[in-house]
Amino acid sequence: MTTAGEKLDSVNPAEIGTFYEHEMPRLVLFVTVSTGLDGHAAADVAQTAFEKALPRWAALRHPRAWLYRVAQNEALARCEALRREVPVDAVPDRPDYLSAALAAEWRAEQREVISHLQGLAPVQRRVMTWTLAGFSDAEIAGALQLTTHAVRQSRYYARRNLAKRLGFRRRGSR
Amino acid sequence: MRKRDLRGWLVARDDGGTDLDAALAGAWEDGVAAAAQALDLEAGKAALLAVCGQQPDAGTPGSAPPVPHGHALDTCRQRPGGWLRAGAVAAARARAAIASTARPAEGQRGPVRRRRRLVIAAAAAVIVAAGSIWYGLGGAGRPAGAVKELTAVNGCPGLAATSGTLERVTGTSLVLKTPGGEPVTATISASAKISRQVSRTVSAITNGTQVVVAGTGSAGGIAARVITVATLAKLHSPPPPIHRGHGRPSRHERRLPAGAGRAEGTVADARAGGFTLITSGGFRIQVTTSGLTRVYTQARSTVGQLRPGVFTIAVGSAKSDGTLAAATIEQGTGMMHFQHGGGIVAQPWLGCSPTAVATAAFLTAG
Repeated sequence: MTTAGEKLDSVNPAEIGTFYEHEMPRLVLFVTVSTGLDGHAAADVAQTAFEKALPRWAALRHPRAWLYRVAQNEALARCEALRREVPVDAVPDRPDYLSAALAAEWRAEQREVISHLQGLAPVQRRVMTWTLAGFSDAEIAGALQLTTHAVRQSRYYARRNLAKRLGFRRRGSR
Repeated sequence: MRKRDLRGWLVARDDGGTDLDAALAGAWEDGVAAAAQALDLEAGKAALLAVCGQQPDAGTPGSAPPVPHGHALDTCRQRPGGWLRAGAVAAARARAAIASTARPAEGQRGPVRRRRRLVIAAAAAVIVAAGSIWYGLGGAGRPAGAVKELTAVNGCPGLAATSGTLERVTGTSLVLKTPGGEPVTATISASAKISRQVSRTVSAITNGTQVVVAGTGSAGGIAARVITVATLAKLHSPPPPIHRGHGRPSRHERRLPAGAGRAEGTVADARAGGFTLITSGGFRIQVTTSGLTRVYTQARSTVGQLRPGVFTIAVGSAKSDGTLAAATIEQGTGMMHFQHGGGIVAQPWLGCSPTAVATAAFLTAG
């Protein structure tokens, strides 16, 4: 099985499929938590990122990081587009299966944790979501165009803020 | 890149923030599990490979057409279902239709506002059309109970279930004889999860096992008659993991009279003759076992291992011809028939995946 982060030497449909099955849920959650997009939009952003990644897969040195970075940029662009748009008609309601699944899966405490995570300052939130997605400081620094020191500092403040808001006795660290 | 164990990576650091890290990692991993259940990964994968020419669309009825590339940002928001479960086909149609309707040729683009109105108008039309197709196919909007002998799953739109005695297996089709005597055909895809009930000994119940206990209740606990070992990784929400007051006794550490004779939770303090059951609310129930206690669990199985004459549950989606496209099949003698007419009720903590619904039905049996 191709594990997350491994570089695929060639575009093998089976390996791509395995990678997709492994990464898609993580990427959707990453987009949802980091940008606040609903389940449909997050799934769409993630799918788009995969669509963009696949044609150039063999040339990517760090396909997983590339995928997440593209997804993040897509999500931010979408958020900006949503902010600018003035709807001329209401879009019919549709069931959000992801949100429903998350609501069913997450306990109240976990929802509180995610809520506070989403309430962090943008840079802190991004650093934390990238960290939770399993990336190293160097990879996060490259993706967010920060220094590794800034990444560690942002994570320190993020964890400190989270610990304070969640009522943990001891403060977070880097 | 080296793959890392997220929880281990976060928790292993002894820097005073382990509670926070564990809470974050737990929420993240549970969120990933929920996303994996909610997403239709097979449809998304097929669409991805089709888009990139790795798996040309064969044009089979109901399959998603090739999706145009590189226009997601300004159009896909209007799609009715994204790549979520039960919406992939309609979504792909919508996406293709929106693209062809709303995107003028290069150099002929009108004002932004006009284009936006076109996009939204097209999206609304496509949503209605896709919704009609979906309804026609017996999708989420259609009450599953409308199909004969298929039962709606309350709380999980789009899911249907049936149950009864397995009459015969023909290839990838099962014929169940429902309690009403009607035969119902369930088709099984290659990705369907099939399991059957197997017996275990009491020694299989160890600390951390999630179980459902049924028996005779009293103020002192439950004398177990049947113990079902959970087949899902997360049967219920365990006791709250965040302890804000270190050293302070948890308000959940209390006892609950188990007069109902039925409880579910996590096993602790397993020993000969019984164990302590910790429920999702943090209640502790003493469970006693004896030589008469039966222990069941569900084991993965294949179509060929399903036995005719044994009670079987199938969960999936209703098809327009009255059959069931089964995503999960569970078989066992200790399961109860569905309440036909009233439908089955999904357990919120288990979610709405077919497996979770089958397990919910399984757990509410007896």
